[in-house]
Amino acid sequence: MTQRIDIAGQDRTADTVADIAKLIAKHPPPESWLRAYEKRTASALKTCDSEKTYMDTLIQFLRDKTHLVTDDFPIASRDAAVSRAMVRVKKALWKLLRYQHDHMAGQQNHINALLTSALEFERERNNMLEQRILALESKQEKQN
Amino acid sequence: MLAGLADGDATSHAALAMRDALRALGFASDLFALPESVDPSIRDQCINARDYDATSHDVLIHHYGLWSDATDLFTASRAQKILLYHNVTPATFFRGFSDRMVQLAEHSRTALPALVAGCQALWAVSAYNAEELKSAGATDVHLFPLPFVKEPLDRPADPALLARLRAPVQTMLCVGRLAPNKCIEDLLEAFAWYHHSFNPYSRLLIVGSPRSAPKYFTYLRMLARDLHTPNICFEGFASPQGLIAYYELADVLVNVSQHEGYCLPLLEAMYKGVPVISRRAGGTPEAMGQAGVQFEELTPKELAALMHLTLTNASLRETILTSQQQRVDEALSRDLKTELHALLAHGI
Repeated sequence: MTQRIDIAGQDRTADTVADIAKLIAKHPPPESWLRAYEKRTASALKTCDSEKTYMDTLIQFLRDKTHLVTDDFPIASRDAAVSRAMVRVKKALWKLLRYQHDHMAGQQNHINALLTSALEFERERNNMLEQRILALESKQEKQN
Repeated sequence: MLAGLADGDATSHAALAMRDALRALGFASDLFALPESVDPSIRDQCINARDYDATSHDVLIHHYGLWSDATDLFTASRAQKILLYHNVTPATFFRGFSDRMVQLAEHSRTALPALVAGCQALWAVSAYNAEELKSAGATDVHLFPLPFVKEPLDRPADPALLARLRAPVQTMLCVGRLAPNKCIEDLLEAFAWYHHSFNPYSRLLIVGSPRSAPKYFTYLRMLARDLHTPNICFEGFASPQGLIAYYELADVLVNVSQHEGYCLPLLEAMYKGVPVISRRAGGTPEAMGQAGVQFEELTPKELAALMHLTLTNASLRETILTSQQQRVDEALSRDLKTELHALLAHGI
């Protein structure tokens, strides 16, 4: 397959692809986002070949994602005095609230971790039971 | 004969339009659906499929996209049979997300040759679908594109939804059930690039039920989190008035589906004056016609740039909207009664 772009029924691949290339060069995303983007892992869920492997992968991911991230993040601001002032207010509020917020986030992280552990134990037990059922079924088939 | 009937569902609206056209032609025509899959708001529009007692003089049209109890009733019926093929999503898309859907989709496809052989006439909603029927052994397939019905879109938009979502941001819209063949992950990535490269005042509204593949929905949610991008909104199933509100809020509709039998939301968006960008896949080029923007083989960042171009280049936008208006006029100028009359005269 090759690239193709049709606009209103006309093949406009050549000029549109050139415009797209210019736009990409002119508007690079922030480096910090690009680094985070390259670390995305969820796509592994798309390559699972059965629900069983999907569930194993999902629980593994949950283990890595139990903690709330409370780091600062960039706040988009339109280039206007009011917007800039609002961003300053938001940042000041966050500084004031952060102590209480992180205390609650800590509790939430603890709950998330416990729930993930419980899921892992349950999954382990389910897998074990599935194996036992399979073994029993195959034994019964042989007896029949 | 349908598996289910719901207000806001494209196949259901098409079936209702066909029934009305057949009645206008003088036929006694009714819809039969499985009651467990009928939306209570339009329960009075159909009859329990299990109560259908066919005679050999009846003509039974089955809307087929996946094997269901309705298909069993159709095959067992004494009526003359017409299969209207909406396409079966290939099982491979569901691998990992739903073992049950893999089995059902495989069965729905492997059963197709026998189903085809048992029918007096075969209709397909797109030439793409007609080719699939031919691969299943059909020799004579007639084209009956999914009717585009504008009346449900002329209703007033849900005011509460409009009030909740009205905001000074660019809105990308995606409409359709959340199923793996829709490849919504490609749109999430493209939107993330768009949001971080071109416009942080933007949002992506994803409208559609996650019921058919909940594990796929979980994957999408995890990916959305991984992309560190705000304003990715999974809105769930929309009521008919809700759907109109989403179209009214949208600046562009983007479809990245890898497999479609036809894709009616493309026409719906065109009717509501929303520019459409669609991947060329399956039956979508037939739904798009000579309108909107169609692409093949773009990376997420290239698609993001294409979305930016569509949203910011006024003359391009004008060209797109003009072509879409022509496509809508063409879709609305169809005479369903004449088409159905001609189709029924052929082979039945």
